[in-house]
Amino acid sequence: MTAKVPRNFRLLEELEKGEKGLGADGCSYGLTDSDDVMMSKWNGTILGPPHSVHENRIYSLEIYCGDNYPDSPPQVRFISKINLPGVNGTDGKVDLSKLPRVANWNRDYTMERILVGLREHMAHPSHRKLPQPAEGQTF
Amino acid sequence: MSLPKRILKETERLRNEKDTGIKATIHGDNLRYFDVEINGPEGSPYEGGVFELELFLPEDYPMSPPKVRFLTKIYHPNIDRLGRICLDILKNNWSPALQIRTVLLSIQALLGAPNPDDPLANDVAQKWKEDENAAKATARQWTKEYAKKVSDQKEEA
Amino acid sequence: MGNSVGRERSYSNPGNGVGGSGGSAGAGRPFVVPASGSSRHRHHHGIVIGDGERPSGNAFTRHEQRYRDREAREAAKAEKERLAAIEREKERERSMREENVDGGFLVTQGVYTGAEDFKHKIVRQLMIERRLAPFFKGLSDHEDDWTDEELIAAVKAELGENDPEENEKKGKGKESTATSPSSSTPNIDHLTVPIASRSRSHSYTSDTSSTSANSHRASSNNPAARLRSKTLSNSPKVSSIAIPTQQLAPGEAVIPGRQVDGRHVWAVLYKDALECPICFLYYPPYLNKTRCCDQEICSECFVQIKRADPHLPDHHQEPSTSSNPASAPAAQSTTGTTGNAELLTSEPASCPFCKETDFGVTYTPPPFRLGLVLQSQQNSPPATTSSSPASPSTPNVRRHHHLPHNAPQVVTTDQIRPDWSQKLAHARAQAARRAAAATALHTAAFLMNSTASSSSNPLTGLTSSSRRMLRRVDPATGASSPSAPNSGSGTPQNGGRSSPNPRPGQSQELLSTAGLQLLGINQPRSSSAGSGSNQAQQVVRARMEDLEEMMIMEAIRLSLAEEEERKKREAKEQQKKDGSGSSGDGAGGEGSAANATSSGETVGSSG
Repeated sequence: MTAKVPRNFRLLEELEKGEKGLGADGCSYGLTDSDDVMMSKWNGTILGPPHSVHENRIYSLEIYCGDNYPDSPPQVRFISKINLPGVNGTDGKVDLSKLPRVANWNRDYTMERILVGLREHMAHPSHRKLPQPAEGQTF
Repeated sequence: MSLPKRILKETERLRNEKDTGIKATIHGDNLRYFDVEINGPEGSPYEGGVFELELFLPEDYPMSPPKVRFLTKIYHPNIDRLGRICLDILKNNWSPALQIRTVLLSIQALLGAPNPDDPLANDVAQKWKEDENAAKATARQWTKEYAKKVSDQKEEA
Repeated sequence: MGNSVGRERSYSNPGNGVGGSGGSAGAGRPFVVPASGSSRHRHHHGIVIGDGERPSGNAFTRHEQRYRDREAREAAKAEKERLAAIEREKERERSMREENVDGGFLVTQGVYTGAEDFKHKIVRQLMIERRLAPFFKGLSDHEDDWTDEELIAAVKAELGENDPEENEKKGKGKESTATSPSSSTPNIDHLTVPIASRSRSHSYTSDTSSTSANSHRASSNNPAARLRSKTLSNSPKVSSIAIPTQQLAPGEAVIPGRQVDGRHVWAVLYKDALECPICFLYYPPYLNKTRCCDQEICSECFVQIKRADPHLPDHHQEPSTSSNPASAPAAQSTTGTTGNAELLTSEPASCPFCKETDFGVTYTPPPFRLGLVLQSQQNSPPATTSSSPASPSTPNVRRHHHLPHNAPQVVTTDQIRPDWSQKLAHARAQAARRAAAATALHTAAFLMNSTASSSSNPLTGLTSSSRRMLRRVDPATGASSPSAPNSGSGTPQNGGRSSPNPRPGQSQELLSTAGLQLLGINQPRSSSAGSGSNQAQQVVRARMEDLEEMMIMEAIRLSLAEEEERKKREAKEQQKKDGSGSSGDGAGGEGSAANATSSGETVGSSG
């Protein structure tokens, strides 16, 4: 049995990784409120993948890590409007079970993995040409 | 591999810890995760307050230091808004000969002797250097506002 | 970062106070934990491009390829590690069964669960030479008034199924040989064991010291070796005649038996057990002592202590940028990119008790000898008949002066990890390579920059920050890179939430600022892109795109180059191994193999 990293220390690890700007995969994330000791609300950003309709667009997301994170996945919602399978067309909520990379959630998975997975999803051959709402709209 | 004997023994010894103003109890079913209480040292702006922290022993403890964080809001130049602590023994100066107990006593000592020249919370450190009395007053105010009171703690016990 | 407040007051345990401040303790750095997770779950969006919409150029494919490459590498690495772990476990079991030194073992006893990166062969040799305490089994509890039987039972309980005595009995039971299975009878046949152990230790070293392709070789070699060693220990009568001609033992021999002066060796050893101040387990009073402050430390803990991984000097960290954000990028630019590689450093581990640098220990063995010995030592009186000191030094004499780290009897942490200097050189070379690549990219970005008509803030901001960005990707600086200026939070500064309904045109601004931020750049707030002309913003956008492309290409190029290099090394390694298979000292070769592995890892994690 290996040590099970508790929620808060796990979130601190993710925060540090985010702060160091090591998320080089066109994604970034950070705490919404730097005073939030519980570290529940996060902002995510995805740089639209190249050679797709998303190219050069910046997508904002909000991520909510509940008390059971990372045993349970966080809730993820697009703020920027996007047309993408697995993303609810009215409120932007992401159905993580539709994202191959994180579908079978495991406590080793991170917010970064979700964002990278979403970006891959956007770049997928069958998604990358989907018509998109005008840039700048939000859910 | 079960929990290393050292962790069991440290936990056992912490249970008998008295009169030092530090307390660590296992959190839930994770035997590497502790709820911690540290009493503000006498003569410091934190006196009279009981501060809650959380502590986690990573897989390679004691070869790596424990991870510790304040949960109670505290106004201190070496503790940031998320409760992260800037203390050498929690980083480069860790030694496997140190223990949970020594770490907590060191944190308590840090409360009694802030070091604004090596800050983690820049705004607080700035204030501390410019007007120490005002900074200490704020620290006292925050202690009153956010920390549990020593008297309450005694009643609990 | 150091805040040494209250040291004297706090360190009241264990035994010695930990006074004074030392350099950064090597032991304090987090050790490498095997990468987890990501390789386990491999779903790919295939790059099946059947819809006729093949992307122009291969950029898209490249992008996907990057993930695939990384995942494939991680999977391969995990598989190698898994195989190596299995081999290690087998070797551990064999060694536990067949080898001992004065009642202690030659393999670790599982106090620590992480990967073992010390040189097993060297440690084994030091233990046989009685320069380092063997891995005694640690007891969770111990009472001074325990009887011999209780002591033996306690050790047996800790050993569980690894109890060599029990295994011996079982093994003998299965055999049809007429040898009496009494454990107290000296087993003369075991005298031939060193040959087997030698062949084993060879393969052991090659597979545990590196997780590179060696493990493949080792695992294919091992069955044969295992078979041989089994044959050897299970059919002793034949072995003593058949094997010795095959390989000459490098001066090892065995003093058989488990009795010292008519008492069981474990009773003798554990009678006055001591608690190791680091793992809190009880060990025979023959523990290593620190050369500096004469503190006990068991071998299990000693082999865990090592240098810090290569890092930039502590005082060389980037200044906290929050006080003057505008000057930070410039300051970093002048630091230069190539200079950092040479600055990478790695201090010797310091003593966990007194912080003295160049941590080392000495060892005074028990007055009797059992198990593996060097043949040169074999002439000393057999332990089974006498307990007269086989070693000239008397145990338990407290030293009153401390020994220099280069004293002949001192074993340092560098000695059991002789590859540390290669690792450092490798880290430096890698950092230099990356810095060179960064410079190339920077130059390219600069050239593009100069073609732009405008010289508005975002452009200059990008140029100077692009270097900073690349520096951040650099593993050398990445390791010690401080947090972003707004250290309390990783909140995107311009993360697009500022306004739910951006004004027309604002999205462009958003793009450039947020884009910079995405690339790991903390753009000074003052240099907002708002003032730039629309055309300039277009240029920024185009360049960012190009930059990203370049970065991806560069990352691939780097990883290919390193993979190439790794292969070359492996080939060389293979040659060397094949050529000089039985040379006594394999440390150098192992070192470079380990290097090759680490280069692969680095690519995997940061590429």
